[in-house]
Amino acid sequence: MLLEIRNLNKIYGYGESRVAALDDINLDIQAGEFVAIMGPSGSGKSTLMNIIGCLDRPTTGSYRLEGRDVGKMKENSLARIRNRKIGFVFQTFNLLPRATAIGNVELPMVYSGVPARRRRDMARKLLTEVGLGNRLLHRPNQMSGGQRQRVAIARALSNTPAVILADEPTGNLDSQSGEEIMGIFKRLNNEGVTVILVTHDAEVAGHTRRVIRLKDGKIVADEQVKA
Amino acid sequence: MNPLEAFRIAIKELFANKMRSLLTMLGVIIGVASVITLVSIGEGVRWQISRQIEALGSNLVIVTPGKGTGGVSGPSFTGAISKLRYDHAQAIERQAGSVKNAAPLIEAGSVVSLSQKEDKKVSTLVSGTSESYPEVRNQPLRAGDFISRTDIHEYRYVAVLGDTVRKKMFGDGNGIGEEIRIGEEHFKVIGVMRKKGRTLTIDNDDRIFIPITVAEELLKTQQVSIIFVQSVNPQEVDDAVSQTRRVLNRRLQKSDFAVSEQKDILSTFKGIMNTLTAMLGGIAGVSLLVGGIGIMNIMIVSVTERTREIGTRKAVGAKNRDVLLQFLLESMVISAVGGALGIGLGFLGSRFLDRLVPNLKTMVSPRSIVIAFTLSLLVGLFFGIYPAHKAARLNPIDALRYE
Repeated sequence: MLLEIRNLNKIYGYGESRVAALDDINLDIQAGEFVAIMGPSGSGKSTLMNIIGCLDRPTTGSYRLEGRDVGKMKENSLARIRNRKIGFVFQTFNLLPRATAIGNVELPMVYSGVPARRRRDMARKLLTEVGLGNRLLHRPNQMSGGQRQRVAIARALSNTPAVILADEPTGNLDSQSGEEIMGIFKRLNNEGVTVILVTHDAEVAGHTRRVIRLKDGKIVADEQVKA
Repeated sequence: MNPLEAFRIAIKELFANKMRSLLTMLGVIIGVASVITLVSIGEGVRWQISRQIEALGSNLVIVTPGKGTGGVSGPSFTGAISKLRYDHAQAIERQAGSVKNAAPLIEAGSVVSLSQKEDKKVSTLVSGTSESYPEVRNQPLRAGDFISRTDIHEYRYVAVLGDTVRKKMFGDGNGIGEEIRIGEEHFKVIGVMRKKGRTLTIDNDDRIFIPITVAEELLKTQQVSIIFVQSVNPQEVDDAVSQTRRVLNRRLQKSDFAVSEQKDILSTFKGIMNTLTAMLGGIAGVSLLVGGIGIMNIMIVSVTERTREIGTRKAVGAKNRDVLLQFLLESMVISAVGGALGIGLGFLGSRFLDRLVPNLKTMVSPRSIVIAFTLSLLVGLFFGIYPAHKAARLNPIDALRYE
C-alpha cells in the first residue's frame, strides 16, 4: 500500500472553539492510482491534502506513506519526505518569479543535493516531456498560465516522487489549458505515476479513476469512475 | 543543502534588487569607511609622536620635578614648585659614571625686543641652560657659538636664539652681534640654533638660551623645570637612570623628582594613543551599528515580501536550516561587500585627509582593515539572525497561501 490513513483526526483550537477539520478518516491509496478528492469549501479537503503532503501532522490517528508512519515525524524528516516522496502542483503555480523554467524545476533537486550538471540535464528532460523544450530559459512572467503549470508539473516530477499532489491544478487556467494539463496528468498516470488531485470541479474529477467525497471532515463517498 | 548553493542564491538575490542592495550596503560602507579613516588618523598621530620621541635620542634621560615614576609629568608651565636646582645637574654630571652631560633648563616666558627698535617685540620662552645643551639635545648651532662655561661663571649677558625667534626678529639674517633686550636687560646675540622642530605641542625653536646663572638672576628663580641627561652611550642608559636617581636621592625627597628615559615616554604615549585610537574607532563603530540596523530592516521586509517563495521552497523540501542559511548568507554578503567597499572608501578618505590637512599624517594599518572587515561581517551575522530566523520558522501552509 502506498498510502494508509487510519482513524485520522485533525482538530484546530481548544475548548469551546474546538473545530474538527477531519473526523475519523480511513483511506487507502495504492501505487498507480489516479484519485480526485472532492468536496465543498470547508469540507476538510485542503487539510487532508496538507496532511497527505506532509505539510501538516494529524492530531490523532496514523498516516503511513510507503509503510512509514510520517504522522509522528519531526519537521526536518517531513521536509525530507516532501522533497523525495511528494510532488506538489498548486492552483497558483508557486514558481519562483526570478528563476527560469530550468531554475524552478531544479529547485527540489537543489535541496536533495543533486550535482548542478545532473540537475540541469534532468530539468531539461522533464521540461521537454511536458512540452516546454523551447521555453527552458523563460521566466514565469514570460509564460502563459498553462505553461507555468507545466513547469510546476515538471518540478513536481524532478525527484521522481511516490505521489503527485495537485491542489486545484486547473483552477486558474482557461478550459483549453486545463484540458491540456489534465491530459498530462492522465499520461503520467498511464506511465505509472500516482496522482492525487483536490478539486471541486466535477469535470476535472471525471478524468480520474476514483473519486473521494468529503463533507464536514468525513468521507461521505468513495467510488470508482467508470471508464 | 550545500552551503555553496545557498551562497549562489544569496548573490543572485542581491543582483535581482541592485538598488535596494546598494542602499542597504551604504550604511555598512559608511560605517567601515569612517572606522578606517578615523583609526588612520589615530595611527598616523601615534606614528608621528613616536618618531618625535624617538628623535629625543635613545641615550636621553629626563629628570622632571614632582611626583611620578617614569612616564611624563609636565616639564614646564605647570606652576608647581620645582625643587630641582642647577647644582643637582652638576652633581649628576660629576658623580654618575654613566652620565656624560646633564643640561638643566630654567624657563620663563618673556618679551624680547631689539635694543634699538623697541617696537619689534617677540614673546618667547627664555631658557637658562648650561654649555652641554646642544650636545645633549642633539641640536647643533647654525652659526656663532653656544653659551660657554666661562659665560656661565662670569654671568655674561649673552644669548643664543632658537630658529623661530631668529626668524621673527631678523628674518633671513642671523642677528649675531646684535643687541637685544630681555625684560630690562640687554644681551648680545652670540649664536643661532639650527631648527629642531616640534616635540608634541612644544616648539623647540621658540626659545632664547642664556647662561643659567644669568637666568637665575633675571628670572628671579632657581627652579629648574627639566634636566636633560645624556648617558655615555645608549647601552648604559639604564645605569644612567639608576645613578641619576641615586645622586638625587641624596639631595631630595623621592617625590620631588622623576627620572624617565625615552622608552618610558614612548610607551606612555603609545598607550595613550592606543586608547585614543580605540575611542575614535568606537565612535565610528556606532555608524556601523546603524548600518547593521538598516540591514535588519531590509531583511525583515525581504522576508515578508518573499513569504510565498519561502513557502514554496519548504514545500519542495527546504529544511528550516536551509532557509535560515539562505537569508543569513544574504545579510552577510551585503555586509561583506559593503565592508570591502567601505575599506576602499576609507582608504581614499584617509589619503584625502592626509593631503588636505597640513601637519596631519594618516596611516591605514592592516590591523584596522582586518578589524573593520571582521566587524562588518559580525554586523551582518548579528543583524541577519533575527530576519533569517523569522523566515526559517514560517509555517509552509500559511506561507504558500500568503498574498
